[in-house]
Amino acid sequence: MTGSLASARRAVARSRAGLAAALSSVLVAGTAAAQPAGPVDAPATPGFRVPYDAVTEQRLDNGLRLVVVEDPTQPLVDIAAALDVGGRLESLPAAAGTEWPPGIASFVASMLTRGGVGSMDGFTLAVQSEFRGAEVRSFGGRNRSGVLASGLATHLDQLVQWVALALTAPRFDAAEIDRYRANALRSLEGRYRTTGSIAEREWQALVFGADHGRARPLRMVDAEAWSVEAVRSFHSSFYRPERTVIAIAGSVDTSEVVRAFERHLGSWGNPGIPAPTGPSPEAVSSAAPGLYQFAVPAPQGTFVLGHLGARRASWQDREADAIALLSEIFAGGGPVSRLRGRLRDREGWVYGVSGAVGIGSLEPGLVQAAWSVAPENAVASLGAALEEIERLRRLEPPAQEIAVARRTMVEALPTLFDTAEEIAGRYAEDLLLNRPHSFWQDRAARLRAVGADDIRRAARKWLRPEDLIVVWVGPALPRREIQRLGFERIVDLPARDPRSLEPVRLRP
Amino acid sequence: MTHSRRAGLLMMRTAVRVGFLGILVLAGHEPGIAQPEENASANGPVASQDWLPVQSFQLGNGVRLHVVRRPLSAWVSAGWAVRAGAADDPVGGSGTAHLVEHLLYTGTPSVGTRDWRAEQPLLEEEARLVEELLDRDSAADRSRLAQVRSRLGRLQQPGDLARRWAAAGIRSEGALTTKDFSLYRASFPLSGLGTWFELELERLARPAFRLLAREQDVVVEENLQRVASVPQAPVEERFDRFFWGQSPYGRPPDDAGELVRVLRRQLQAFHRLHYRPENIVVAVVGDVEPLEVLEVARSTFGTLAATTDVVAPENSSIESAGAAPNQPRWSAAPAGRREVARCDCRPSARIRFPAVPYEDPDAVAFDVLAAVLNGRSGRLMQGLVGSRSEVFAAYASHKAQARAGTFSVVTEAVQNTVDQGLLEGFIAALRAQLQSLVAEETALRPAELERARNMLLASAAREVKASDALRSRLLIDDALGDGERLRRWSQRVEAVTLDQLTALVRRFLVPGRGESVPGVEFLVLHESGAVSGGGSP
Repeated sequence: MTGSLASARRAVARSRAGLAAALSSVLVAGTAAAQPAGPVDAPATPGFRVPYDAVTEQRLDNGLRLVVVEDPTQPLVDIAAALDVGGRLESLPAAAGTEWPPGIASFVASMLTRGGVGSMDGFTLAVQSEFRGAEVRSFGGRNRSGVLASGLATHLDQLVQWVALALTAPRFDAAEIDRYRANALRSLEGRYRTTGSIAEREWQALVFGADHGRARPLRMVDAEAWSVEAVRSFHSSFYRPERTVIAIAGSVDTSEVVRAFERHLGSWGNPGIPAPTGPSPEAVSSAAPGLYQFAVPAPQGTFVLGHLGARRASWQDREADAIALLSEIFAGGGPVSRLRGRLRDREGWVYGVSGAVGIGSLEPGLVQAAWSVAPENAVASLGAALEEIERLRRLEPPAQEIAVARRTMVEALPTLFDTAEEIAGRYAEDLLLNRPHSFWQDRAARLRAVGADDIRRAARKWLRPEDLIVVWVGPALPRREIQRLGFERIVDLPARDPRSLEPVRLRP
Repeated sequence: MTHSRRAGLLMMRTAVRVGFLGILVLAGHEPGIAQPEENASANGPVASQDWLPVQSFQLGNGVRLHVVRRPLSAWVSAGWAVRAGAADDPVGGSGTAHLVEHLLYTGTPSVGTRDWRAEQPLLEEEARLVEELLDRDSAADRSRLAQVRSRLGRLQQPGDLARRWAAAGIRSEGALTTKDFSLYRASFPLSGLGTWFELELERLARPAFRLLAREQDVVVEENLQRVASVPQAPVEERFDRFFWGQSPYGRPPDDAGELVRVLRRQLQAFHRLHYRPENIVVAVVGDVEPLEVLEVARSTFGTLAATTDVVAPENSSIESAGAAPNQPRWSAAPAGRREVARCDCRPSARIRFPAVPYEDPDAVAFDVLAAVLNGRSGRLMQGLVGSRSEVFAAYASHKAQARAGTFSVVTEAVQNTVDQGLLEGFIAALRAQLQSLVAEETALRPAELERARNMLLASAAREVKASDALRSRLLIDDALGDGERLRRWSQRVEAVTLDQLTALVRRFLVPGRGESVPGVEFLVLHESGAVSGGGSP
């Protein structure tokens, strides 16, 4: 047994000793029930250690990094090949000074497996994998792209081969590209059918600027510009071993895993083209703060409000920990969420509230809150949310509230490492982000070092009413009531063409 | 250059062996776990016979308990479910099951109040005033109600339960109510196990039923968010009504008009009727000793008294009044053979057939049949998507509920502008695909069965990798009437034969000679004139 597992076991044993005592002390009758039982700041998992000792890291000669976690308790093996590739790179210049078509990164990622690999077309790959009960698929987002394969551990070599072919030899067949582009276009049609999805789209466009890569939704006109040449060019420019970390977890033997990857990806080399560097974060062009509404008849409307957030200065950035605690208190998933406590638990206006004071590592995070609410309670709910923001800025949170928030976050740490797949995945993400492996282990101590004044300081800096961009999608709100909340700028958003998403007419 | 930080799990490897029989071998549970001595009932314990080390028990009062020990997990996922859901709502009391679920978060006589002795009579007065106001509006009663609520507001402590959970490191993962059950979930460090059991017992056994009006508002909002704001959802509810007729599965859950009129005493009656030990199942997954969990369960949920004076609510439906768990089985009673609806969604054609309830031995065969038809290399994609350019997707779905089940085949159109004639063509094509399953020259082949089995076995293993997912699976299986499902899954899937599938198709999905065509056809056309993309109101 490894050191970390052994210490985790010891902690569990200590916890067990306290079980009987806990059983008899939970409930107290009558009025004594008013206060939580026991100190909230004492972590219930004091001995939890991030189980990175279960990880084996290997680097092949071509720079490809493997992260392996053996877990013989389940019959599967999961392989996640993650690349430092995504829509973020579309802002880099393409060959000969041209630009990448918007959305190309995501489309290339989707074609890694769908269009077939090596000598197999997409259908043959499906026949082969489905017969074995395996899944092979690819993914692409703003910062990451890659291939996922999952199957029975006895099929390890086959799975590794499919992953290798998807990374190095996707077919990008013209007919398949046409077919999947057509499917992508069809899928676009149904994206904006709810008030929530429309509100989120409009808010992103207002916060970043309509042409920013994080805000620009994929449009049909973009998809029509994807060519076979562009797909191949993007792939050869960015899909490289040095940008790749592969996490493997399951009922495997590490030496077998390494041999399989050496066999199938050991010769994956540099294509001879210099790797593009960067990019720098794209310039943001936020709209003026204010309330923007898109009037649409609906039984319930949606608010999204917020502004740009912080970017982490370093992995030792102390402000980041204060922001994390502020986020938990503002609208986190634990019991202290101020917004949920007010809008749902106290007023009963909403079913749920989501939100965060976000902090990004590659790009700035987002400060955001969102909720759906009946039109008759809309203005009141917005007013209440603004009051909660103001209260966080004005007053230090009580020690008890901070303690519960901190404990919620610390106690949740083990859930991030519940399976071998999660352990391997998080370790791999450390490598891709250059995040120290000690980051998670030290998190509890860092959070304990955050004081009430740190949180209030973070609130004053990162919850700024004067910068709020508020979007409402639902029945039109009464302007006078909105103005009473302090919004001087109230803008009606235009309807948009569903293909181009360009405004089709301006509302009066 | 190779850089290695290897530390391995060799001991683990020798602790649990997982191999393959055909494709998956059924491995025994971990050695060293003593068989529990609890033999209070004929049902427990049952030795694990599948690759998951599930330990199942039944307490003396009827509560069922499933425990899975996961040595790698430093966190425990737990939950409990009650075998009663929206289909058990009394007639005229839509939303009752859902409201009870919500009110279980508002506390008990010892949680969520500053002074229960002062609060209790006020709660009763509030309930009486609400009932009178629903019967006859009166300014005096309204005024009095406002006063009572104001006083209650000073006594009640919303969020107290959540704070107690937090103090023990317990993270609530919320609850859900389906047609057949309500399910309550949480996760915590091992040290929180006892607290979790005690607090859950407290709210299960002694809910205070406070803050009803607030939760009625919240459930209405929830329903708006989940149904009224999603274009496809009202169509699905309409199809359900059409298919099930007067069966409780056909009643739309959480009808706002009825929900806001549900009374506190009706909720209490529902709770008394359904929240009794024999309807309760608990699941715990984590690095726990099953016998220790059993002890804690016995000292908490095991004390839950069996209800002997169960009385059905006055307006209870015949189906739910005093019914045993998951009984009786219900039948579809379609209002016709075909229903057509429009919405701002992708046009589609589907045929829905009555199938079997969750616990029926044929349920797994329907799962295998769906796997035969599904996937890119499955029959429907090959037969329909590959050959017809108008088809966007084609798939089968099997939905087994506690008291009845359905099997559906669906085709979605590429274009929004399709007319009803094309969708009727889709229906004919789907029926032809089903017919081909039993036609001599295109009958099911052994390789198709093998593929389907492999897909199901691997996907089951995939589905329960995470502790919380495994916990929920165990609860749902039991709540739907088949607590053995996961543990027996491999055996059951392996046991399905081609002959069984063929018989199933003949019995449920294709007409015999001289018989009428089975199944109800649903056609969804795109809303005429609607602009996709939320672009215009």
